Amino acid sequence: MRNGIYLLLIIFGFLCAACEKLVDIEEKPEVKDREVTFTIQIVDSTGILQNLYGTNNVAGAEVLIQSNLHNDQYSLETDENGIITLSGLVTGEYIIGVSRDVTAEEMEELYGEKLYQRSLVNSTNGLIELRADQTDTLKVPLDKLSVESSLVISEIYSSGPSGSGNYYHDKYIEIYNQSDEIQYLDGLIIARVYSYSPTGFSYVDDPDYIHSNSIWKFPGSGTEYPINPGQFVVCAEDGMDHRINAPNSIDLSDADFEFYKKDASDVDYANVKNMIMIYQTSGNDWLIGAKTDALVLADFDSDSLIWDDELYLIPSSAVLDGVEYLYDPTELEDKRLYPGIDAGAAGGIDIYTGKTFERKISSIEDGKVKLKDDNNSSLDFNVYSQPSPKTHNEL
Amino acid sequence: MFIHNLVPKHIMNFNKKIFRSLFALIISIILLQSSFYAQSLLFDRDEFFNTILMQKYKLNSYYVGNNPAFLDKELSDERLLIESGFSNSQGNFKAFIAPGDQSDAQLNFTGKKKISEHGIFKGSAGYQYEIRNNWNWIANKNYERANPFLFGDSTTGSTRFNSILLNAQYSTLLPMDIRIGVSLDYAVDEGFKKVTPKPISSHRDLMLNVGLGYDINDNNSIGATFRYYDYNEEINYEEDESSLYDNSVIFKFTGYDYPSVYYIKTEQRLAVTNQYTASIDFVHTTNSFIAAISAAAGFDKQILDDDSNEKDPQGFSKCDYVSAKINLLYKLSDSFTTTFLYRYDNSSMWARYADYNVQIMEEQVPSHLFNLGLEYAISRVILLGIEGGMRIHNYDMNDYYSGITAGYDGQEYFAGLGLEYQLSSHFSTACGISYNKNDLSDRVLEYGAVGNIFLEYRKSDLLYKITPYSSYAAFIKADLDVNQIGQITINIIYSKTDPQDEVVFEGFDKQNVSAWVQFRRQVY
Repeated sequence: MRNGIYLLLIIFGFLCAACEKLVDIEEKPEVKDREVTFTIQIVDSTGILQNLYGTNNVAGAEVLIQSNLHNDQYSLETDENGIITLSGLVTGEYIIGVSRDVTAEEMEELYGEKLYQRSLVNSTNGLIELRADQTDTLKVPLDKLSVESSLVISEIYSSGPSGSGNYYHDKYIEIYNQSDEIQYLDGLIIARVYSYSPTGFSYVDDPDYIHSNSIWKFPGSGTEYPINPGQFVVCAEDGMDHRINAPNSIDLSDADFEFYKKDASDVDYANVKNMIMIYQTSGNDWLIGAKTDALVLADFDSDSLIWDDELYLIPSSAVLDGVEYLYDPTELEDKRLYPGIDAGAAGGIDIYTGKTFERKISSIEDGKVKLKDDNNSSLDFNVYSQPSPKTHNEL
Repeated sequence: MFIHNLVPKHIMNFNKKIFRSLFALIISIILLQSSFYAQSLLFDRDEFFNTILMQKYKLNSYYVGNNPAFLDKELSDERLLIESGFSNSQGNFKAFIAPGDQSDAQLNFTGKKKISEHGIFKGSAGYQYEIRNNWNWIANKNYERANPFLFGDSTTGSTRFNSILLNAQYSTLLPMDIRIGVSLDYAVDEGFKKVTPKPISSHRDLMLNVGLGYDINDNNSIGATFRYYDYNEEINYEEDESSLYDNSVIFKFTGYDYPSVYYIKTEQRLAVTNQYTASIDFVHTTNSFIAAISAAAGFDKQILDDDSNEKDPQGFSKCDYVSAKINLLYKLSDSFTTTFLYRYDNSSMWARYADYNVQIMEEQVPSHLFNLGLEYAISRVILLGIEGGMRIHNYDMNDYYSGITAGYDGQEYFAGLGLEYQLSSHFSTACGISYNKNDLSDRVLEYGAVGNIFLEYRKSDLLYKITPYSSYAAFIKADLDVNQIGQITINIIYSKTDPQDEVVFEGFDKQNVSAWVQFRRQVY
């Protein structure tokens, strides 16, 4: 009798031991979410502050941190050591945008002349991981001296309307003049940033050139197409009232420009001035990605474009503004636009939803609207439920 | 088939030494916790009483330890059993993420056969149809399981599940009279939500029980069981024609609040749950006394991945279980039988991020159940049973991710009265009523300023958990055995639950009805 009991117990013990070996038994983590304080130090890697003040610590910088999942935003200012602390945050990825204005006096001290609208920004390291199980101080370098552009891309509507099947002809890009002076659109370039969609291959690491297979330019030779301070200009795929074809769409019959591709079955709407196609390898009309793409506005002579491997190259130095949008804006590793031009990405809009990307309003003073332009579309843009051609959803 | 006498036939010496050492072993293996799954995935009906009337016949190693090595002690005979059942649950006293009403129908075929001197086989096959109406958001079938990673969309609608369930059990004798038994369950189902964006969920259950047993003597038996349970859930959101005209909003919860919201039309969630359980049981039986003791410990772990191509890890959760049970029956006289049950259960769940070793939620649910029963044979054909008891239980939940804490101390009191009446050798009936009152004290629901719109909805899930309630239940059973045709058994259970909170769920209730018919016939 006892032999049977012993045998049974031996088998039981053996199986218990074997189970413990075979099964990966995890221990409960000791660290609990939201119960940790994070420390971030902003440092200057350009050498500007070292030259001016003998330190790399960036005091008085504006830091904007945004949860990649929940849209929670935290706006802070660094202390004298360039440090900010945050507590009560959920572990995860955060988009960080840092800006430290470099005054005209500081620029004069450095370069001998007063240069305005300059700021130090983090063109890389735009995505940080705040994790409660790693609480070492996180360093974010400011690696670029940025120049604020007078003309910015204020809106990209690319998703197509809801409820109208596969209708997508109402796409547009909108330009805004946020300077105090009249600017001119003549000859400016709107280009798509190249990416080979099957593999995702792109020239994202090229700091010198934008590689493009879709380049259009504004007509005019100098001062024919002014854009006034505070004015929005719409460049539509088709300058028509799209509500005729798609009830939930918009009226673009009063668009300022349209992309008319005359070598294809595109329709030329006579009331709207045409953009000039320089180069586009495919499609019957101006085409931009509904969910993912990147566009730049550049001031460069189209006759001087550099031909390279079936693409044209535009010098990065000529880029006035660039905006990237991704289907999943948390996947910044999928970027195609050099982070020095746009450190982040707008996005998160599905096709045929009627939603739009629009630059946030930074301030309104004396009726003058200033749009946010930290060269980080993750932080500069919002998603709105409907397009707002020639105006802003918040106005 | 109405059994009035207890199974044992001989009185043997009881080896106290062995009992003590086995008891010590049982206690020592209480490592973790349990609300373990039933013996089989088929027809897992709640029992009306804990210890009296029909329940007392289950005081053997097969039921006490869920041990297939003792398949010969399973109560069914060698006739073909055809079961058909229906149940419905509806009412407003529910969690937000629970369906407004839920119905299921099931058809099972079961056969049992002794196929050699020691070998016994039992097999079942079943089909189940389940429909959940007015179901908010959630696409996970087992939404009630402690699971912070719920997945769904912004719609409310009906979902139906079609399931096929199979079970096979076999037991035999090894050398040295060691019993061995294996039970294998396999179930597959597909759930389809009728409302756009129409997620389709598919599930696969695989449960393997391997039991060992040994009859120390005619009165004492010991057993051990290992269980492996594998549960896969795959939920697919796919773009179809109707989604062209709708804007889908997909939610991925990590706790009660702050779901990740995606305006996308295609997504996939794959959840794999593995459960490992070890249990040991001991049963001592004489013709006037039964002592059944079992203890079990185990854990399950759930791993989640999203997106079929990218396999983006979403989270990990682990739930530890411990369960221990002492069940005693003493026959005071030919007329009086008393029963006692003590059961301890504890489940302890925690969850972390997939990529970070950071805890996002933990939940503890320990409980102690004390139950006393008394049976009185009014005559040779009428048996009256009464039982009552209490359950002390606690709930303690910390959702660190959402900044929410909830909990209570609970005392549940219950009493039931049942009657069995054997009108003739071919016809018998039984009925019963019960009352249950679940008082909760020290109720806590705290949430900081972190909540947003989603908490407004899911707060009611937590309020539901911490709301005291009372319930009434009644059952009736009729059993007709006609020699030429077979045996027909009809069971009906009805219950109504009323919340005892005067504010949150005032005027709400929940009603359940369950009915099933069994037909047994000699066909082999």
